[in-house]
Amino acid sequence: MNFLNPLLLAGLAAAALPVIIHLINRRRAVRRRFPALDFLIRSQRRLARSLKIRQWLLLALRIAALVLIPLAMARPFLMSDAGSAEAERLPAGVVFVVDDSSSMSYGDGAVWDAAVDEIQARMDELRPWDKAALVYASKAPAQASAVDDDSLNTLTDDIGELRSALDDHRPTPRATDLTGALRTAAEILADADLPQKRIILVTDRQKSGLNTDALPEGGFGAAIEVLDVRPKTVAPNLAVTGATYSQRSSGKRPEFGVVGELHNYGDVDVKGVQVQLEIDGTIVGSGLIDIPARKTVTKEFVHRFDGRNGLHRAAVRIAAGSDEHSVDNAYFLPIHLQEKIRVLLVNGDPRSVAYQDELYYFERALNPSRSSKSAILTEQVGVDGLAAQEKLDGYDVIALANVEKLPRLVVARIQAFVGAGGGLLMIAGNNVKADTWNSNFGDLLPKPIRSVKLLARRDEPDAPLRVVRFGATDATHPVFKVFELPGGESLQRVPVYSYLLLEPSAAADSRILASYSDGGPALIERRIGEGRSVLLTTTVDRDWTDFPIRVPFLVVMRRLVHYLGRRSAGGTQSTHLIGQRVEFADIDAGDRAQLEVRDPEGRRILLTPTSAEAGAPLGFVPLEAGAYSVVSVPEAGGEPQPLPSLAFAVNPEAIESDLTALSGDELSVLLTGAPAGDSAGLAQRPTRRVGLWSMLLFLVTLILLGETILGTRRSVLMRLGRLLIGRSASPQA
Amino acid sequence: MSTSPTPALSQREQYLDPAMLMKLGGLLIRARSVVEGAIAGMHRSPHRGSSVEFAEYKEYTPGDEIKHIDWKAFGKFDKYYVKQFEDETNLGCYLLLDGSGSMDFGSEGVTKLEYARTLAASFAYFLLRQGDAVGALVFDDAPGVFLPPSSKNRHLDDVLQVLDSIPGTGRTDIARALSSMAERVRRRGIMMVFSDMLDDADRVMNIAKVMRKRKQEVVVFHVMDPAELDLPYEGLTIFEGLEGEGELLVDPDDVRDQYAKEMRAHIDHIQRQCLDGDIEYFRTLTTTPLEQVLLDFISGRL
Repeated sequence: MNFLNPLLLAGLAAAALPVIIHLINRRRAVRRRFPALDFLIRSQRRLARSLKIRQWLLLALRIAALVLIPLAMARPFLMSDAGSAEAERLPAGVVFVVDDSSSMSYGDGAVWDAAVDEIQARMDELRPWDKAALVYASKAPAQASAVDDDSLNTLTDDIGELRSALDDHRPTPRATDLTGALRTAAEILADADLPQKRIILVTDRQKSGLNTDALPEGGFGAAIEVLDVRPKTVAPNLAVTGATYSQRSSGKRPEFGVVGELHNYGDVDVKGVQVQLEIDGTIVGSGLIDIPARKTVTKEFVHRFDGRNGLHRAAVRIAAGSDEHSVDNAYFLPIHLQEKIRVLLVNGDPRSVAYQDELYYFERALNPSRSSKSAILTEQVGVDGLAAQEKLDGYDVIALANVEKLPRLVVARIQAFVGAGGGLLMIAGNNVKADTWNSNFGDLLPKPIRSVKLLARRDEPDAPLRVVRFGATDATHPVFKVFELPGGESLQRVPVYSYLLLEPSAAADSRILASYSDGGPALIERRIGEGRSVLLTTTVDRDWTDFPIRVPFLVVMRRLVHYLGRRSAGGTQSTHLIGQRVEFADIDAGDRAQLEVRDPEGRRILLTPTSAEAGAPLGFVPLEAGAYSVVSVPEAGGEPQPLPSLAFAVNPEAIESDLTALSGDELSVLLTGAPAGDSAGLAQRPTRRVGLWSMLLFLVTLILLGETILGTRRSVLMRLGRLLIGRSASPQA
Repeated sequence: MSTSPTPALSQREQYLDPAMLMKLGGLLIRARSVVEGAIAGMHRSPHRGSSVEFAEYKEYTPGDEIKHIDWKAFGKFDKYYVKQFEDETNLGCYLLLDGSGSMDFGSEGVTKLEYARTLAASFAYFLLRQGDAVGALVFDDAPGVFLPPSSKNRHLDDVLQVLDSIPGTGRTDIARALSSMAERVRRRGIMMVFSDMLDDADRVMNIAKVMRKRKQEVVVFHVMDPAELDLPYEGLTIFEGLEGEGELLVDPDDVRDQYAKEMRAHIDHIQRQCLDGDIEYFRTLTTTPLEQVLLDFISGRL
């Protein structure tokens, strides 16, 4: 409240007058002798309560009158944005840009409800000749219509339609794109032929929602008013931003490790967050972790499957109630339990004598009985045979043993194979020449090769002294973890006569898994795309080492193949983001026409080609987070056939989890180039001065009237009453 | 009982205003004025006839006064009959005057005490003129001077002196005064109580009823000031009790109705108790002419 004449407020001191007058009157009371004092005292006692109330009421009324009079004379007023100022406006086109992204579901929907209330209130203020449109600001799904209902994107005078559309709408799990929505709003208004144009932006001011690079330099061509619906306090938001898995062991109950990534987007450390691993709808693991402010931590779960191969739906979750924004508290991923690992062995030095063959020991280590019952199925080809393989997708691991050189086309094919998640094992041998391998397999090698290091020949008498043995291993790696157990030291007794020396300049993503006793790398890994390549710097026959005839050989080779197996690890190639198109490019022609996706709610979605061209990949845009499965429905009818290899998961965009807000000024500067308080800044609601003095004076009049009635002597009132009754009765008489 | 004047008297309006009356000399003159005025109003000469009333005839027996023989009856019945008068019952009247502090109040130029005193004196004068014996007692919270009854003419001076002896102070205890009288008076008599009755009415009435049962007549003259009835004051007032009740600051306007209600209930209660106990009750304001009160009393006994 403000005052035009604040000096007149000094008159408030008059409020003390009634009390002073009361005290003076008390002193001036007449003293009388009276015989029937007992009757007076008795009467006064009986009336004491009502007399006291009447006297206090009188005092209050008199003080109130004396307070209100100077208050009214000081001419108080309020600034109001409602009233006649709005009625004076010309017809207006108003576009409500409503942020309906995932962050608006904060607080179990409370923010969204508040936003809807605000918008409804603004819609109430629209007059019959105004027009309005509704534009939602969650990121538009790829190759889909911009909003669920295009009709909302047109200015209409049917506000009821907009209102009911808003009532039915809920926040989406998608990220925010305020810039795109504002552009849409500006386009709508640009086409409108109305004298007043206004954009009302309803937002929680999420920083990530505004793409500053895409903001138009000249503004949006209309006044923008921001309805800020951000809660006053926002608790630190925790999110599961990713998850991967890897197979630790094979067998009847294969062991998998699932690693979840959790991020704290708040500025306060959060301790004791309960994280859970869910497999096929059942929570199978749980643990507590601390997540420092603005940091990412990982939580690893180990789970043994009970032998059922195929697709399993996994999710890493933050337990319910850990934060106020629950949409990003789960990360979904499909886990494929591969029944068998198919290994393509490429023999670079085939021999007719079996035990002299390059792959004699290796193949028997992988598939000792050479039967199809083994968990690892091997297929041996020569270099030419490899070149003849057009598609390598049927294999999980390719092992190049002592291969001198491969055609570039084949190398490119192997690169694609590894990039898509396949495993490549490169094994040294006499045919390996440093220059050739560096130029031929440069993109696949974990490190460039320098030369072959010959330590001793087997038949030399001092060979045992000159050889090196396997030394340090990465005990955390799944391949060598078991060598930490008793008996694991047997690996360190294996002699190596020759091995490949590598260049010291290592690729950043390579990792040494095992070394020789002289420090030279023995087994080195590199991630390439979704897959891995591993280089063994000695042989898998007895040319350079006795490793193939030692016990650890079988363990290392089998575990290595399991580790490299294409579908025994994953997390990213089968996961997609909400709103991004998922395509299935390499589908058999028989499956193409009738592919169906089942979303997390069990709804069926028929896949459509990306374009009208024949052979265009099938795909669709998922709008919900969760696990999706794909089935093939025969055209002729019949039971749908599940395609577990195509199953995938959809997760929300991590950027939406960052609830960091722009300040009002920052938002104003970004949208208009001027701060919020500036006339060029964000539009303020028109306000006008509302005087309160007339109301106060009316109040004073009422109070004085009440005081007059209450303060009048009873005898006078009685007389007056009698007079009135007498008058009304006389006509009847 | 009513204090309203009889129709014949109201037309004449010849009575003295009590306030004016009080300005006349002594108590004797005032009493005489009242009685003479009252008798004159009755159109009878106070000097004719006898104050004693005829009661019955009885046959003459030796020793009776010969002058009392009714010769007309002798003519009719040929026997000697003697007139018997009530005088012969030898009634004693006792005037009990309340002289407490509350009686010393008057809003109309005359205090209740002065009024009651003059009224009592008037009765004394009247009764003595009739030949009745008159006694007197003044009291406040305790019985004061007591004068035994006598019918001698010069007894009037003693009665007036006793009535004049009380100053109008102290608290009221009517019951105690009546008890004292009950102890002193064994013969039949009339107890005339002049008081404002600002006392415990139940206690007073209980004693009065006991006296009534002992063949004592009790007559209550309830003297009130008009201000006691309608509390006519305005403005914030500190009321001060006359019998040490303390003070009360109040705006009379606020309590007037309730006060009038309480006072009315008190008067009604006394009146009802008197009726129940066969006690004569006269309520009079200090503005009511004394002659009228006297006549009301007399007319009630004719």
